[in-house]
Amino acid sequence: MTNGKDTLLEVRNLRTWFHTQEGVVRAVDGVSFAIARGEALAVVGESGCGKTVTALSVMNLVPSPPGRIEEGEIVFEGRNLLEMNDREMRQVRGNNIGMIFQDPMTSLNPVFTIGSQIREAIQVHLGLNRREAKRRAVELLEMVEIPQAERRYKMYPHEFSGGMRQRAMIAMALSCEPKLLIADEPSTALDVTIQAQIMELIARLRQEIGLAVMLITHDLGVVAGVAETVLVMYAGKVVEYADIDRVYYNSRHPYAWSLMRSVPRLDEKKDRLLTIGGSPPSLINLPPGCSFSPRCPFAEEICFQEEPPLVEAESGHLSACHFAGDFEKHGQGVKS
Amino acid sequence: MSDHRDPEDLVPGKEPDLGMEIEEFELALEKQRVHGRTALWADVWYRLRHNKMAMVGLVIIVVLVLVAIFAPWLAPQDPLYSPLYDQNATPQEKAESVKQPPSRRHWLGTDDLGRDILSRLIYGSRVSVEVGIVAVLISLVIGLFFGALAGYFGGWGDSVIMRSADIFFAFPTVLGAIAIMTVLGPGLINVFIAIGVLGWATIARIFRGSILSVKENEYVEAARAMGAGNARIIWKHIMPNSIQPIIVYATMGVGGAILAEAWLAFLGLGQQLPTPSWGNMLAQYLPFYTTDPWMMFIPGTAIVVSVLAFILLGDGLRDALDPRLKGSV
Amino acid sequence: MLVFILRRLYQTLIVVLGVVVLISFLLAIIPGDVARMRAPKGSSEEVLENIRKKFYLDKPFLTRLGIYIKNILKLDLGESFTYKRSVWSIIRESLPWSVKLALVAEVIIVIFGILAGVISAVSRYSFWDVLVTISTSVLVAMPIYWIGRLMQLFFAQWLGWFPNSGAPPPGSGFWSGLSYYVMPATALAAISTAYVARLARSSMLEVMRQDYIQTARAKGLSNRRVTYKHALRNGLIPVVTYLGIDFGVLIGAAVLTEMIFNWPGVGHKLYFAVIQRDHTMVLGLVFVLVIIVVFINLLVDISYAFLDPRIRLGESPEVT
Repeated sequence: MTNGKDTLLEVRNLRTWFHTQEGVVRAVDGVSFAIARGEALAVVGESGCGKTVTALSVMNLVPSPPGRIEEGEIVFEGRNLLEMNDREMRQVRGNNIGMIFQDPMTSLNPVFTIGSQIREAIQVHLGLNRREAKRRAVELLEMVEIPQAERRYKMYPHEFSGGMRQRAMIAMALSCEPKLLIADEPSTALDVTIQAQIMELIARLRQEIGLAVMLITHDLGVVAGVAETVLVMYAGKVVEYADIDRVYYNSRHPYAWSLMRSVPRLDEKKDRLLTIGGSPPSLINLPPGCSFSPRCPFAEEICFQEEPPLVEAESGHLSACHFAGDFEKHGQGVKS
Repeated sequence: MSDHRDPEDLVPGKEPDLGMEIEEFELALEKQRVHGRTALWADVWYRLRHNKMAMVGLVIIVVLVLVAIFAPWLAPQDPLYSPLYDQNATPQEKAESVKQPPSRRHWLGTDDLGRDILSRLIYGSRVSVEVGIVAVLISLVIGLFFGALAGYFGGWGDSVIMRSADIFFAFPTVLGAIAIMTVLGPGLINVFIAIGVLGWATIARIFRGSILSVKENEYVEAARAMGAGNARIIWKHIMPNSIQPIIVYATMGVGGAILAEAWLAFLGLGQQLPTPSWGNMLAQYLPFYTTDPWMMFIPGTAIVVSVLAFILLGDGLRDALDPRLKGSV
Repeated sequence: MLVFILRRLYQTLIVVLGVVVLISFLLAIIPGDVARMRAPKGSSEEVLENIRKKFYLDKPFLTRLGIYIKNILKLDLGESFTYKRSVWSIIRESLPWSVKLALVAEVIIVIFGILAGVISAVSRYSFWDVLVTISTSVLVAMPIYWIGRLMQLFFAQWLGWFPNSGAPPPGSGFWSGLSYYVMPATALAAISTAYVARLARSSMLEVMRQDYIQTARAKGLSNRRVTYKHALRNGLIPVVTYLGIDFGVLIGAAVLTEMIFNWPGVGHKLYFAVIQRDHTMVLGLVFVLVIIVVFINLLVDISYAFLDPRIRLGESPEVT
């Protein structure tokens, strides 16, 4: 949601499908969103809702086969990434868009030193020589608050703790001063205290270097301090898209609404946390009507028959629910 | 994670579903996958059935076993009958009977003693099937027993067993088999013993490894907490979950044993003549490679096809048992 | 690293001692009257008695076992009955030939196995991949001596490209000498090459699925760099381990290959020892070959540690 600000990335009607033996998995099915320069967008949803595939589509790194981007546009700084050839795309990856992944334990190559892995991107994209690239890499390690950067530079990934590795990943992703950082569940695999540190680091770097961030997470708890806008995905589709306060306090979709209520919060006194029954549907055999209807506590006849379009429930607040407009009325059926 | 979980909390009028949070749900699915055994094997069979190469292997194996069982009915002639030793045969008949290329009377021709190659091939399949099954069974019995002992109980017993496994593992199969067979003397029974004894170390290693990884699972803890004895835990809980790599290895091992019989036959240590085995047939026809090269292709092809069948089935089983590894060899 | 090497040395020592005991045990339990089996027919009782003395057959089993163990530890492998020479002298004479052949074979395995596997993995499902998959599957199912015979049939008898068998005669030049190596080395290497190709392929495919490969792509590296720098280094680790394990298979296969190609190596001698039922020589040769295999494994494990920093820096290896 860019609200007329300078758009950095715009994704329009993206469809990324996986052609498997069991059938076509519509991992991402008609997703649109935009990120302004310096903005942070959180993409939220359960595992398997298509959020990681959305991110990989932006990087054009969807494993293929079986994955294929069937349709859509991904416009980055005015250029459609999907029309780029391999070489042009490589110039974007790592250089203009950096990405970090969920599991820092497996995301670094075990047989190369941390330093050489950071240096590699710098040498490839910025054309620096080995010495300059090393200096830059050490600076980056210091920037992500790794102590004794000079010494750590020569170490191997297995000598780093999980949090340190994620810091190194961030350093690597930011090595060429990208304009956008895609962070795919950057803190999920880490301890709670480390999680907070990593999210803080991302928030701080954002401020310092004016970075736009696409934060992918299933944990709404980590979103609050980092992102301004939230995109909630369910079964490959966008179900709610608005700024964070509206999603938090005035959700217009029962899925997002239940997600909010499943987060333990210190500021609200609650005896019980809400849980969402059932499991996400198979992306091969989606139920007719609204994909969420089988699990939706408010579902009515129409929800099982017609798929709700993504509409503006109020200005700047998109929701894909038949009752998006009068959701409060419906919501009263349940006490949280 | 909240301790205050109460299905009543959900919407009135809705069935209280499995109330759980997202990750918890995935965990449950994982457990279900490991524990739902019938579903697992049905799944394995489903995946195996859709693997063309594995099915080709399976069909060849079934045919091989059927041929071995029904050899006396299938063989057109007596595999041991040689006109050269037949007092009723005329000298001309004797002269014309040897190394005949395939004909209507002898579909795959005759060997250097005028015996029908097809009949010998059919009877020879028995030796291959026997070696494959018996040798692998011997390895399995020894290997599983010591592997279970080492993996489940650990301690010094584990060290002793695994160090002995290392020693056996140091022997390449051919050398080990030669050493054992030299002492025991040639013959089929000794082939069983030699190949069987040499195979235990690998099976013990694999089984120990998978027991170690299964042992720590919650359902094993649960079974122990409920007072199940060691034997019961191994048999009912650990075995079904640790056996998968063993199944793959044993399947491939049958092919390996068939090959080993062929090697040993070449060294004159396998099935002794005149009883036919594919190994001794191949060894017997090799010297004629310049004059009658077609002869060695018959047992040679039979060996390659049946060994290949077990490899294909083993590959397919591995993919079917662990779909994550699909596509890897 | 030092800890790792020391631990491997300790393990190797135990295995070597185990092999010594096992071989001595086999020597000691040979059933039947060995003297009678070995002596020429119609030898006098006196001759038999001498043989029994010489091979300690008059001693009880355990004493005999002890003597054999002691002798082997003193590197005394006894005397071959057929050659009437010490087993060591036979090994000294034939081992260089085997080593030369094995080295050439190992070069073939490393180059062609890794090349075929990696290319096959990189262009998965291509014509080349299918060809490699099928041909390696057939090769591993073939009795190795048949591969040798087939090569002799095609390349020596029909095409006449290489000498049919034998070692290069003394005084032959480099190229003509090498032509003697081509067929036996290729036959010896064939099965291992197939295994290495299959392993390299599956290992590369496995590595290409790893998260760090995605990281490398996300850095904007070219496919070539991702494959040949990031994936290959990791993909080769299991291949190198396998080469160590496989060396034993190679030595075993050498017995059959050397026989087919009439190559004057240890395998050839071993074949005749087996045919002659020359127990001391069989077990002596097997002992030496197994010990060689054990030490090659040790060397490979140590070099493997250099490839993988996780082991080099003292962590325990994940694969055992």
